[in-house]
Amino acid sequence: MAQVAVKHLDKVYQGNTHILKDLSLEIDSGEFLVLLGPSGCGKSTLLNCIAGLLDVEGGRVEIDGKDVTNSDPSERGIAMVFQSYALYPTKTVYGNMAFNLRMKRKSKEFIDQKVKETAELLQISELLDRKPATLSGGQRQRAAIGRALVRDAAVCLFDEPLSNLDAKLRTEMRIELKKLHKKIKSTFIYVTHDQVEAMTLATRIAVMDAGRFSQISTPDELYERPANVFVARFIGSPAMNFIYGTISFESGINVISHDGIRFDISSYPFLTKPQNGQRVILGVRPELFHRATSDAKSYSTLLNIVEPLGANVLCYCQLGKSDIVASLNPSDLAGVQTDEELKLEIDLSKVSVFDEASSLRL
Amino acid sequence: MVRANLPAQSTGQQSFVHKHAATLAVVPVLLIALFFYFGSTIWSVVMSFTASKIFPDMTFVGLRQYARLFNDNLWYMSLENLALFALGSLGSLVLGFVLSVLLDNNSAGEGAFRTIYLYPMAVSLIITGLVWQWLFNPSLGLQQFFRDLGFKDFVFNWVGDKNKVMYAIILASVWQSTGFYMVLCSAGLKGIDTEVWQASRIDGISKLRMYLEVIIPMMKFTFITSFVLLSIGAVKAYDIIVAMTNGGPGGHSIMPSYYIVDMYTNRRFIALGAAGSTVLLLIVAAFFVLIGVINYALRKRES
Amino acid sequence: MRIAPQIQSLIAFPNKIPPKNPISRGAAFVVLVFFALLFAVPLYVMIVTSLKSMDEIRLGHIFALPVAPSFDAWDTAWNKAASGFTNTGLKSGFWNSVFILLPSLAMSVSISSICGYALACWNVKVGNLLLSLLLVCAFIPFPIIMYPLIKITVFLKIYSTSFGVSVVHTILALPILTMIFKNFFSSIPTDLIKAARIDGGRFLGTFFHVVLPLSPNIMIVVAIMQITGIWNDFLVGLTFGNVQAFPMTVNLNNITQTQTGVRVYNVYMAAALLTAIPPLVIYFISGKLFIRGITAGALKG
Repeated sequence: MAQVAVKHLDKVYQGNTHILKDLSLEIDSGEFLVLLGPSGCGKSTLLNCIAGLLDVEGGRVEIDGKDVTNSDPSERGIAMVFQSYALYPTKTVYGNMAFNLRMKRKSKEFIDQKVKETAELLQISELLDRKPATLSGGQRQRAAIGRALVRDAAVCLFDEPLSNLDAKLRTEMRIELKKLHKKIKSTFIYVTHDQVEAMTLATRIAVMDAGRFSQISTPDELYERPANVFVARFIGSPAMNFIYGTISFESGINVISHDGIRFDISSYPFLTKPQNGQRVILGVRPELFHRATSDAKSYSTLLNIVEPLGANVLCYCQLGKSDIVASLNPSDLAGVQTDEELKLEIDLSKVSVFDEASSLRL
Repeated sequence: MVRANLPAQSTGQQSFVHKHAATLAVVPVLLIALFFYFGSTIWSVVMSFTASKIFPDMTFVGLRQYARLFNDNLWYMSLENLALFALGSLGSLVLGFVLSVLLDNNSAGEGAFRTIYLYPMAVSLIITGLVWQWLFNPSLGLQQFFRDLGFKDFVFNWVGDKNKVMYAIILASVWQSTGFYMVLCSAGLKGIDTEVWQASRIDGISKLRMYLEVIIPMMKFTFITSFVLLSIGAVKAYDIIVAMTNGGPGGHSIMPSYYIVDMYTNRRFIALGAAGSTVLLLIVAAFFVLIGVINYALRKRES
Repeated sequence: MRIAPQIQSLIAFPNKIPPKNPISRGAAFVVLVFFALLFAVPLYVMIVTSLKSMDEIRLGHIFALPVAPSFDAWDTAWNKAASGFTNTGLKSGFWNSVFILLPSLAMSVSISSICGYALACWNVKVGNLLLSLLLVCAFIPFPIIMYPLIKITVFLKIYSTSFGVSVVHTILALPILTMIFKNFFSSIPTDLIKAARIDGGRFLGTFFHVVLPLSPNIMIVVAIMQITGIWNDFLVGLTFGNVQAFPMTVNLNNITQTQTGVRVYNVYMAAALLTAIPPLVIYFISGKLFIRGITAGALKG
């Protein structure tokens, strides 16, 4: 177990493209930190910098309080699992797993014991004599994880390890990874662009955008209180609904949308005091909509398309001039047809409000 | 490489070697390129402006060696022969392409045919030259064979004829390299999508038309590569001349490489050899700039 | 609407490609056989000539099979044919060629493969510059660097030794070999190199444990290319070998150009065959790999 700290990290490619800009991040011992972001945001670059596979142009990387900025990858006490698995094709699974320990000149008995232990943990004991080419995708994935775990590294790095698997296997491996993390208690740093993976696995998520951290917090916090429009848009599927409007202090605090619809947000916990007439974006998660029980607080929408997903129903509606998605209970839709009016109410205590100019949460 | 201004972490020299191992691995080749290739080239170019004869001599004489070079009938002949040889060795490409097309349309014994067409490539050009010299032997070779068959006036003594000696060398060299261009063209043909052929069948286009109007244009980059290799072959041509004719008769089969090497080794005139090789370098450079421009233009038009 | 007959046949037999015209196929075969015979003629003539005596050569025609085949000419060529100053046949040249080949093979392959590996798999600052330099080097004609190289080898006291010839072969091979290896190693996934680095493989460790086991084919291709290239070389052996270290090709040429007495074509052909046997054996054994080898090698300056 070890804590990892990144301090004021800068990475520049080819002397001009600034990939990472002054990044700082502290990861506690035993954390499962997920670096999440769209492709090209620099998350893999950051992971490679932590691993020591890329040199940095500024700042430092510390593992367990020790400056490892200049250390060789193999001296950092880390293990890494790659998207392409990167198993050595000419070595058996056993040979793949033993390679690191052999390089460290461990005794044969020790290596044998370690490899067999780890293989058992990952249920790949019967695959040890096989070459990677003869394994299925899931088996390769296990072997690759086995290679990382066999060395008892304090920090395990994962570079999109599940994205080459099919959907079913991915779900299985996700749960398996979570169990593994619980069992071995190493610090995991995990890169993905898949928010479901991030939300389910992480103890903390660092959302990255264009070489910077947009927000670093727990999955719940990220979902419920996104710090800016980018995070709000990126997290959650279907995505958060955005309604553009202005703040009005007439009878409480309200957001008046551009097409004149009033949303009462008096109960919203503002971080910064809003101003009358400030242009804002109101963010409403699809599941904050409910079928209206009374006419009093309801919003009239036009139901365009219905997508039944079993447990819930996605309703694509028109609210004023905005298109919104509402996630409703199937029973809520009783008696409503498409192209008819659907009256909805909104749980306005849980919405997000962003300043339109800065995109930041208010 | 690691930022230099950060304090080195681990200890001493081993760490330096280990960190810069990749750079160190590259250094020998870099030094060889700079010293043996670029350094030597510059040295030769400098020498071409001096009065060096048997020994290097740093008396600068301007362009006098070049004037002398271009007053030398042998040098002129060698340049003429270079052009002739380059043109003639296009025969390897033409024949190689034809053979590759025929092989593409005939699967019987494909491996055996390829083996036979390509084996000359495996043997030294000295041997190629020697065996063709033997075949061209007027009293014991092919000429005599055909005369014995009844063609009394058959003349095939190309090696001894100053007007035909270059054709003899070209013939031998075509024999030697055709198989290679066949392989290149076969690779090019294999790269062509089979759907093009299926489309042509549906459109009812004859095979010959397809080759002329579709396939050959599609293979233009294979041909450009071949032109480059053929020209390199022409510039390098030396061994085959030594083995077949030794430049004779009367210097009528001399080529630039032969002229230059002869100037350095037998006639011991460094500056003139250097001047000749500088001209050769310029010819090569001009040719590759031309090819590069054509290649660039073609690729640009394609995208 | 009428459907073209070709399309009809495709609809009727969707998986069957209409048969090719049998006549054009037969014609193709005939032409191929004709050229195959033409290409085989020189080898045939070499073999039959080498098995004849000079008397028989003078009496019969060039294509005639030997009446009384004998290996006398082969024996003479190998053991006692006169070349220049000595009458020791080809065998000294053979051994010179072996002693030139082995060190230059080892040096050129090891230096260029490690350099190509560094360029392809590691982040070397001067990498791109070096690759452009090497491309230019590959096109510099040999004659322009020949004389300076002679001077350098004389200075290093390796001129007219087989080792000196090896060194020159190594220098001449490095640009193209480095580029070939660089291209090949670039196809190895970068993740694999990263994994090896994290596993503690250092520069050479990763090369030997991870990269080399993935590269037997390219190694064979390059080895074939180098063996045939160096074995068949004439000019380098001639200009750098001097009398003491002439390779077999130079030895062969000396035998055939020794103008004293009659030209003994049976001995010449036997000597030529002896010189050609090593590359021909490699050619017939290695087949496709040989083709890849010479294709790669043709780019050699």
